[in-house]
Amino acid sequence: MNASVPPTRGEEPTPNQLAMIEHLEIHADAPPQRGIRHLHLSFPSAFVHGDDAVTLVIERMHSWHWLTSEQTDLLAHALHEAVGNAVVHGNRGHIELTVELELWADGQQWDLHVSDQGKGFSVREALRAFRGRRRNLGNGRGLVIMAGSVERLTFHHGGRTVVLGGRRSDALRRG
Amino acid sequence: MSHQHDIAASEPTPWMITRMGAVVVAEVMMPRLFDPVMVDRLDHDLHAAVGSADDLVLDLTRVRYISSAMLGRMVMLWMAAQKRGRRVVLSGVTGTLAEILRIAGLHQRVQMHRDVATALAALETHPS
Repeated sequence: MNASVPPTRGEEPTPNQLAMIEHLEIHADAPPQRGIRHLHLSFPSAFVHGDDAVTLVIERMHSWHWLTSEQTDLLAHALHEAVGNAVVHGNRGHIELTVELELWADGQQWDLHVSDQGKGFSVREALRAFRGRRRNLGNGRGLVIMAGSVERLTFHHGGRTVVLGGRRSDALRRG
Repeated sequence: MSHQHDIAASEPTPWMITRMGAVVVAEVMMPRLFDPVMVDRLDHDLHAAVGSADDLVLDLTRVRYISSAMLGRMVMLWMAAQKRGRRVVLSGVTGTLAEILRIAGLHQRVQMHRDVATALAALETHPS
């Protein structure tokens, strides 16, 4: 787009983006449960329900002073991507399949678990989507946004559950 | 302005597409660009706009959240415009939205301007 950038066949992923995908942690087991569960939402695989769920969780975390304003917006992007992936890629839009969204936290850190009922994915599959033409439709870029927007990103249950994690901003203020 | 007219005035959409001389300005007025249906509609309208003008300014001043799917559509739009020797630039990208575009790597490709006026001035200074 910039005048100095020559025309290309397509947009190439940067080495940093590829490294992000290559280093995704995808575990076979369930995610660890941090502290206590503060929220648990279960909703059908439809965008409108996912949007409401994300809004509710983000508003709660912000009202509890767990997030700064900047963290709130970044986490909203990341969580939307996670829920969108669960609806579109995990449950493949089958509205009868549910998405689970859980917020776990101890006094220092929080974890958001987003789970679908799909078949999960591997790093190899993620890289293939990221390098392929479908990337220009968004595939793979969502993973990069998630990885770049939160402190911790791990996958569990073979990719069916994603955990977005961060430090509570009220804990940082307490020192 | 007398040289402006709405291209998609007949259909109520949360964006406004206006021709300003040889440039089309698309102002997105919804704060959240996540809904796949809206992404599809906007993508359709933007492709139609790029096909009917020299250049496109996509103004995101009012957009606070954007999905990776929409970012992907923007890349495809940019590529389609390039094939026709046309340009797509962004305006009003600030704060967290700018950070998201940086994380997604779009800042390396897509020209970004502070506002529509600055984008129009840049396009005028460097005609395609």
